[in-house]
Amino acid sequence: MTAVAITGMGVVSAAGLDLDTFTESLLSGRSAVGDFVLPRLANNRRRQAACIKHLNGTDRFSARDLASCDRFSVLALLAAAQALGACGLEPDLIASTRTAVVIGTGVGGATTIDDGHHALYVDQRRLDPLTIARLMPSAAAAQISARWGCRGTVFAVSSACASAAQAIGVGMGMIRTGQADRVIVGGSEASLTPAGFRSWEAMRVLTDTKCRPFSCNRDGMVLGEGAAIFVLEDRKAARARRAPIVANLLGYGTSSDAKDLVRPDPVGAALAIELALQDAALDRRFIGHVNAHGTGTRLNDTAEAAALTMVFGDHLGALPVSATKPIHGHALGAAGAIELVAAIVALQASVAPPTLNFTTADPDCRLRVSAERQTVELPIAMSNSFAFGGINASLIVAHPDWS
Amino acid sequence: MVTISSHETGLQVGWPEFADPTLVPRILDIIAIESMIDRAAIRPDATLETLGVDSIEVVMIVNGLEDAFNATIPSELRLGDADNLAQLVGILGAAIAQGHDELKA
Repeated sequence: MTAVAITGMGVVSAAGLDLDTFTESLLSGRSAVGDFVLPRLANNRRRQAACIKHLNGTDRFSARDLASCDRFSVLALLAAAQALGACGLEPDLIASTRTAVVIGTGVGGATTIDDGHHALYVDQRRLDPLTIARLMPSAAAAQISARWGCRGTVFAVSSACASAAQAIGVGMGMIRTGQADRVIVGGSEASLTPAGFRSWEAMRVLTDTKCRPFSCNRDGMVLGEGAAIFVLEDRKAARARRAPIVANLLGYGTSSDAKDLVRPDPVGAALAIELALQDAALDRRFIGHVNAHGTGTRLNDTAEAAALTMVFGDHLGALPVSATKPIHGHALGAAGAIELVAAIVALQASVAPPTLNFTTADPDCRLRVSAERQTVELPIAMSNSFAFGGINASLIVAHPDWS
Repeated sequence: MVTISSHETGLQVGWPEFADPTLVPRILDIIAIESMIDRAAIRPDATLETLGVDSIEVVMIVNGLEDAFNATIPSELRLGDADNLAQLVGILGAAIAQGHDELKA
């Protein structure tokens, strides 16, 4: 089967607007979570989130281009510019019918939706004619396609917090089956709007204290935003053109709980993990590190620990598990992409990043949680994404030197 | 507020007591409305499981209490640790009562 290489990678997150800053935050355990004030609300108590306060690099786009973009598309374009700049592909190869774009997002243009509703209901005025073009979930993929001239298959994947991981998995399949020579994949989310944030509050899944994945005293998650984009190619072709391969994408598994939309089922999550191992044709003992979905909610972490236990059994004692959301926040539809960057950065440094705020082990989560940064022996990592809707996705990446 | 577990004593479980005697009946009314269960079924020794109340209905109950009492019920409360409704009402009632004391202070 065609092996798939990642030849370019870019990230825009509150934990770093470029790969170097993000890597530093991740490995040193510097949290981007901070105070956060929602606009347009009367009852405005203090909130916390990992939001991007100042966005650099937008000067590369014209005012007219930016006017057609929601924030989630701007984040995607910035991350794509990094990834495409790093992959070393000539512009005429990117601008081709053989280049596809598959981008995950949970919501799409949340800011545009909020602005539109405010204009309509509060100001009673006509909406901006570009409202639809900005808010559609496929806007980020279409913007990338338009900017770099990618004329192959272009679409969005929307499956809540599994969106980006599924987009990456689908893109890998397109390289394997020859549907495209290059696929730009990843995810983008910018949904920290008043209504978006209050919707999460209504579910009571946000912490009032700190996000502490897998810790006994965990009490919820912290929201984030951002984008991460990768360039996928046939590894043979990438080697032939001496591309800077950052990692090999070995496996992808996805499953649906087919049960409750909000209560995770460990059986479904375990199936996605198992399918990723089968897809990579790997024995579970070769996995050296897991970047967990690890949201910090009671239900997710218990279910994820149960799923990992089902699949990894006695190997779990030797398997460092990191949850990096306390650093970059839960970026929802972009989480799978941002956390794949985290998994790759960890592989490159041979470490498991710290799981911030971890205090006490939970007897229901019998994992080797990497509370502090620790050395990892094996150059293969897994990244999990489990979504509302009961949709699960798991990706496996290897250091480029591993074969 | 003192709640004694029936497992420890073998005695019948009772509702917790608060300085405001209307607090518990008002909480119980909201539990009945939000989870759409018969008010008569809401007994101190009942559990969420036996009543068929799922996690989203618990969220609706807590949101309903916040709205009714103009209170904030913090995320770190371990509602899942409650063995029965008496304990659950004890945890929620204490948080509401504490919120009101803070408002007065």
